[in-house]
Amino acid sequence: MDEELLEILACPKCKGGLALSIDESELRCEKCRLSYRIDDGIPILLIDEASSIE
Amino acid sequence: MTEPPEKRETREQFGKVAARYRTSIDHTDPDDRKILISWLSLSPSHVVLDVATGGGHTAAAFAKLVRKVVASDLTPEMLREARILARERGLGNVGFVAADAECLPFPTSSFDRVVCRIAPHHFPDVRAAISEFVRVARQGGQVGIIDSVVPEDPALDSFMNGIERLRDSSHVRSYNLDEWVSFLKEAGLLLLHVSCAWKEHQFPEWVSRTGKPEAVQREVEEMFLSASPRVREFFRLRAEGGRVVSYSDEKGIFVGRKM
Repeated sequence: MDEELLEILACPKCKGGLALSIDESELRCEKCRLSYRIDDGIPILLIDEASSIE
Repeated sequence: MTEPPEKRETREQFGKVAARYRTSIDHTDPDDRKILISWLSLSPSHVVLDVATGGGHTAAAFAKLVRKVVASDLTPEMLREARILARERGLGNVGFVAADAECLPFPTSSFDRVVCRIAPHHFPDVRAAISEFVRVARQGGQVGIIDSVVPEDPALDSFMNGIERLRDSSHVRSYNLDEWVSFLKEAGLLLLHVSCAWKEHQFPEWVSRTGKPEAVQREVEEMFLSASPRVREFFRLRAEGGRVVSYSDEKGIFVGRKM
């Protein structure tokens, strides 16, 4: 993953920080309880495509 | 949340025809981009956001001039094409992220420059998008936009927007210069530059690029051929043997500073 890009990315909903999952497959917003997948190295930061964190 | 139909159409359409935008003559032509670059006073230390990067041409052009470019687009397939273009050009300083222009995934004041070229006419809420561009630009940073503009004459405006919607289901509206200036001022930008540049479109490539059936392409051609002399003259229509060869429209170039 592009580390400088990761540092600048935020949750599109609350604009707060995101945490990269250990397997680097998703970015999580703990505040909104939303998970955004990383598809072929490209973070998909679209609220409509996020999944809820259980 | 329910995605507005315009955004779904944008994603579906550009997902199918993404590669055409990496190679399209209209999107690789650098004239309006050169004007934009000359007004943005770029520095090698800058971090730039290119919103709705499409085939990635604008992102690639800026990547040669600044430290880092973040290229965003609503359509992941487009970003893969943009990444191919950046790799072909040996550019290692471009990051890619799928994002909605009206709801950007960046903190406030993140970028030295925010640019968006030939895309706002696809946005369902252009004011919301411009407001996001301004939010993510740092104070004193600049926002640069290029998009198709229409004349203030309502007949010419409705002709061109009608043609565009028929050719391209994801077309929302091309605005006139007055509308643009008020959008940018309302968003809190100090306008540094406003200009227009004529752009000639080779009709066969332009009309087929969006992947519409041939019957629709023919309908677009008929609209041009049966248009009033005033419309044909304004849009510099060239036709030979009953077929449209080319037409021209104007691109508005806008640069503003976040106060």
